[in-house]
Amino acid sequence: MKVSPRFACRILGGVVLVGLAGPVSAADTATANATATIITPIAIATDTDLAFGELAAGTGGTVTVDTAGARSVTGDVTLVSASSGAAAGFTVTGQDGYTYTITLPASATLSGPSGASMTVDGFTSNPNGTGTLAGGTQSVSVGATLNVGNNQTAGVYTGSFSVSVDYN
Amino acid sequence: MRGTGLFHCVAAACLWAAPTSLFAASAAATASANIVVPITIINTSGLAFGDIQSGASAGTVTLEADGSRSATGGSLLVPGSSGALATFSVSGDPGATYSITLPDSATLADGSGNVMVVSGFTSAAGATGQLGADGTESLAVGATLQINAEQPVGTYSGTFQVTLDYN
Repeated sequence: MKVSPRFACRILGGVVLVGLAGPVSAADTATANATATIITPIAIATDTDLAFGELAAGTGGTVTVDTAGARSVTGDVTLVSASSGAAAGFTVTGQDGYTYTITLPASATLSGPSGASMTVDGFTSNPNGTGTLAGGTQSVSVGATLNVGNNQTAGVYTGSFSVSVDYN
Repeated sequence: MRGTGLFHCVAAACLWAAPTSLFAASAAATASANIVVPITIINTSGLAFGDIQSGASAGTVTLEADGSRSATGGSLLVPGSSGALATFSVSGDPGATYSITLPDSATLADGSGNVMVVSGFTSAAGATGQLGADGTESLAVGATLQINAEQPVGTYSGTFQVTLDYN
């Protein structure tokens, strides 16, 4: 069969137009940003230990060292004025401007001679609860209350406690 | 004569491609009616891993496709900062399904020569999404950030691409 020129034209035209419909399946791509910030790890270092100083125990009571290092007593306990107390001092370092939570212990135990011990509780800090790392650092002072027993055995009592900090 | 006829024929075919051609009112019209709305994807928000503390050992931070954030190894999250999935707006043929092609990895840099690699890209829709009845869909993408030991402090950024195609 002889194909007429006109018929051939239709075929060619169809091919061209199908080609125009090709972009139907075109994919599309989007670009997104991804970010992450590595900040300075938070750290805490001990500068000064907590000290209740020298005291005479009568029938017992408490000695409190506040966050400024000032001592006060309740009950029958007498401070030796020549001695001084000291708040514990810490330096917290981390990311400038970030806030953090300060976690204090509920209590600690000081051990003395012949198995004698005293309990320390009522820990307080300045700043209290939450600190801010202005310039990437902050000093934290910690005070507490020493519970002295009736005729508490004379001697040196020591113990340790931990203060934790973490970013908010 | 036959050669001349074919020549005319090719010329006519070229004209036929023009919308105004009289010859165009044929199968070509049916084909154009079948053209679907092209699929498009637009990024609407970036992927953010938030604030991270790097430790003495390497670690990872993962943003799951459900938006949750977790850390492993020596890396610690900073609770006060939150991560965010990358989000995209997809539009196209209502009800159509499409394939989602995510990158294998991307690199975040701090501009001072330090880098971190992002891998494990996931989408909430998996590998295949489906456009809603209104022809749109939102797509969320998460990934895992690999933090080196003692990763230098800084803000790291980079880009990645998501490609969609109709199934």
